[in-house]
Amino acid sequence: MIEPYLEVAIRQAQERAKLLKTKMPQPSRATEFVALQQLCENRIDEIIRLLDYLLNDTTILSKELIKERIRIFRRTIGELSQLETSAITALNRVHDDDIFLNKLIFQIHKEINFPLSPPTVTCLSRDYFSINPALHLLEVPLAESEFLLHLPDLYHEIAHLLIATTNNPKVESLQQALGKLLFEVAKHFDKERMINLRATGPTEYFSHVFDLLERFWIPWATEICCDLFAVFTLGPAYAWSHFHLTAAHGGDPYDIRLNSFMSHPPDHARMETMLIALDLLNFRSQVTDIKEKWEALVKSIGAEQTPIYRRACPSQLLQQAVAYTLDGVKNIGCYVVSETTTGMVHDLLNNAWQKFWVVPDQYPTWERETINTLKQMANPRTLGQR
Amino acid sequence: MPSRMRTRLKLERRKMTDTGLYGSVYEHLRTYADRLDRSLIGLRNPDSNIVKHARMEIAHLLREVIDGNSTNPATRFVSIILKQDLPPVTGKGLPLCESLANTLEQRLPDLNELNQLEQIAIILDKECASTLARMKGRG
Repeated sequence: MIEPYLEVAIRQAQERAKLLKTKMPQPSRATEFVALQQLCENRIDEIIRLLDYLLNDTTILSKELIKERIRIFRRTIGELSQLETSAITALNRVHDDDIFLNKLIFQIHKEINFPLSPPTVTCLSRDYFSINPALHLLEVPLAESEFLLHLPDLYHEIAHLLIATTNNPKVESLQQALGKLLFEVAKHFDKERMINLRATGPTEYFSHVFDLLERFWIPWATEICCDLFAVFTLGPAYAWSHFHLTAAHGGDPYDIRLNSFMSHPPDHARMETMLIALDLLNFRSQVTDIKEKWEALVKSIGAEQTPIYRRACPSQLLQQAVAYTLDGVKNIGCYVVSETTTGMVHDLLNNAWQKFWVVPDQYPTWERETINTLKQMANPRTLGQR
Repeated sequence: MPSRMRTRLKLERRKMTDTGLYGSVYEHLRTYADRLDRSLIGLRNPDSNIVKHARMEIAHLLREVIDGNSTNPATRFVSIILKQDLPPVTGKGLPLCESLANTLEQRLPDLNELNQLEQIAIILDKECASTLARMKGRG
C-alpha cells in the first residue's frame, strides 16, 4: 500500500539533494569554507546513493522489510534536512565575521593540540553557541564576533566533536572517559532503585524519578564532559563564561524539572564540577574568586539547594566526571592549562575576564579596540567598526 | 522511557541550543540503529553467507549493550535506553538482549524472536527521531 508513495517520495528527495548542490556558490568565498563544501557534496552523494539503494535493491524491496525501508528513509531525510538548514545555508551566506571566527578557531586548535581538524564556524545561529558534529559546523549568534566574554564557549563546543567522532583511535580515550562516567551513572541509579525498593513511602514515584534522572544523565554526562574539556584546555575564563551565561540567561541554578526533559544539567552542578576541576589544576585564588561571585549571584537570584538537586547530581558523580575527563583529555594529547600557560587566544580570553572584573569601566573600550585590531590582522579588508 | 512518563514531558525552556549536545548522542545512536537495520535486512538475503554475517553482527551488537564493562559511549546510551524502554514492550528488559544474542550465535531467529528484534529496532529509531527533534529545538 505504502510502496507507491515511498517510491515517489524517494525520487523527490533525490531531486532535492541534487538541487542543493547548486545552492553552494563556486568559487568558494574563502578557503576556510572549502572543507565544509566538500563535506556537503560528499554527504549529498552518499544520500543519493542510499536513496538509490532504497529504490532498487532487490532485498529491501521485499514486502516484509517495509519497516526497515521506512526507518532508513526517514533517517536519511533527517540528514538531508540538517544539511540544507545549516551547512548549505552557511555556505550560501558567508560573511567576513565568519572568516574572522574561523581564523580564531584554527588558532585554538593549534594552541591546545586539538586532535581533529577544526570545525567551520558560521555566525548564523538562531540561538546560542552550538555545533553540528556530523557537519563539523559550529554556529554562533550573529554579533558574537564583536565580543569576547562568551567566546570561551567555543572550547566547549569543539569538545562535542571529540565525543561524536566514531572509529577514530585518536579520541578514544576521551570517549572511554565518558563511557566510564555513564557506567558509574547506571551503577549509581541501580543502587538507588534497590534502596528505594526496601524503603517505605511513595516507592513507585521515586522509581519513576530515578528512571528519569538516569535518562537525563545521557546528555548531562556529555555536557559535563565538554565543560570539563573547556576548563582543562582554557582555564578560568570558561567558568567565568558559565557565570555570565547563568547570570544573564539562566533560571534557578538548582532547578530539577521532572515534568520536562532536562537536556542540560543544572547550572550549579556545572559550576560545581568546573570548580573541582580548577582546584585540581591549582587555580586556587581563581577558584575562591569565582566561588565568591557565584554564591553572590545565587543569593541574588534567591535560589536555594533542594533535596532533589543532590539526588540528581550527587557529588561523587561530579568528582568522578572530573577525574575521568582529565585522564581522557591528557590521553588524547591535548595540552592541559596551568598558571604558566600562554597562547594568543588563551591569553586573550582569560585577560578579557580579568580586565572585566578589575577595571569594568574601561572594559568596553578595551574590548572594542582589541576586537578591531584582531579583525584587521585576520582580514585587512575588514575595518571592524562597530 | 515508559509512555506514561513520556506523555508528561513538555518542551523545556532552553537557554542554549541543543544541536551539539544531542548531535553527539545522535551520531552514536544513528550508527547503532543503522547497523541493526542493515543486519535485519541482511537476515532476509538469499545469500547464506550474508545471512550468517548479519546474524553474527546482531549478536555482537546485543552483546555490546549487555556488556556491563563496556566504556563505549554508544553502547552505554543504548543500554540505558533499552533497559528502560524494553520492559513495557516485551516484559523482559535487558536479559532479553542476552537471550537473543545467545540464540543468534547458534541459529537463525524464529518469527517471535524476529519480532522482538524488530521491537528493539523500533525503540532505537524512535530515540533517533526524538534526539534529532531535540537537536532542532523541537524536542
